[in-house]
Amino acid sequence: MTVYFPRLFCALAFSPVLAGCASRPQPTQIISARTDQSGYGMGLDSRDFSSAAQATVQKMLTSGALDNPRGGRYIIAISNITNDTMQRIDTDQLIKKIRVQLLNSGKAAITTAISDNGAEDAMTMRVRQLRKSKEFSQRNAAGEHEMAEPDLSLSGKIIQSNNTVDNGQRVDYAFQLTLTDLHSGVAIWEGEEPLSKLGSNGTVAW
Amino acid sequence: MKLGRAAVFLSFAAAGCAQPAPPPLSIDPRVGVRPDAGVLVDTPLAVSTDGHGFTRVSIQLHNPNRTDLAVNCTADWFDDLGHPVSGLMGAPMRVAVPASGVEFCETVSPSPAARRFRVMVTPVF
Repeated sequence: MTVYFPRLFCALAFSPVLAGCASRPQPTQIISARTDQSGYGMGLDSRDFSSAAQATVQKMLTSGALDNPRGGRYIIAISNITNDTMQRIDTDQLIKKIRVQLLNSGKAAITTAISDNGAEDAMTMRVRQLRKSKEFSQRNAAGEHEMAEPDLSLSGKIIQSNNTVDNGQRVDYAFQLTLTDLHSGVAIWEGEEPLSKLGSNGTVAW
Repeated sequence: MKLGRAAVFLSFAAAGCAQPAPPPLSIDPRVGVRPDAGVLVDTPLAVSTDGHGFTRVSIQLHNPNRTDLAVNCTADWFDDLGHPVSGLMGAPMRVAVPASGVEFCETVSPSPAARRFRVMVTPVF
């Protein structure tokens, strides 16, 4: 017993030291957008989408492109928003922020009855199939020619390009958006928000 | 000997007092700058309202240091009654201010009802 005591003692003495050296997992925290100081990755995160959406809306509002000469709000349809990056992105992360802010601005409203991929909300058309149904009171039935036709279309693309630099990599993103007048087919506003990130090769951008 | 030391000490102290006070970070109460942000706000602010009631604010940030600085500009917008008007415009805007240079922090009111604002400039670590 006396022979093995020093080994046992050493093992017990060093075990807390080794445990302290082991990396501790990041505890779960709630991040507030206003106080978020967490590090950036090479990929896109919610801060990047917020920044791009914010800058885009500011430029749209100050450009005068959304000032309807007939008064009232413009009706905007969401057209194709292409994700041309190496990441799996739901483009609504960008577009929804823009939509909410445009609606709150009072300058425009988004139609959900038509979009690039058909109706965003199919219920608008489905309720019209109930016009002759005897099961439904027709008191609130949607009439013909009530749906608002869009004036403008919002389309865009998110682009990514990767480049190797001296000791790491550089990733350039571009958020490109276009507002098209659906009567004339002319783009009445176009914007591009660039975003570049420089980091080590140890981080990936997909 | 003691008097000599005291005189030297007082002369240093007086020299320290004679140094010009650092310029205030911001003299406009609508803009707050955290002292560790390292940037100065040039005044007066450029504030304008367009024909549709949207208020546009441009804040010129000056970096007196020899290194580039990144700061966040966070705007709060309020209606005439002082109620906050939340929205995308309240998200922090990251602005990189080059060494010994200037950069602008620009914000637009989220709606015509939002006419009052407050902008906070904080460092990015």
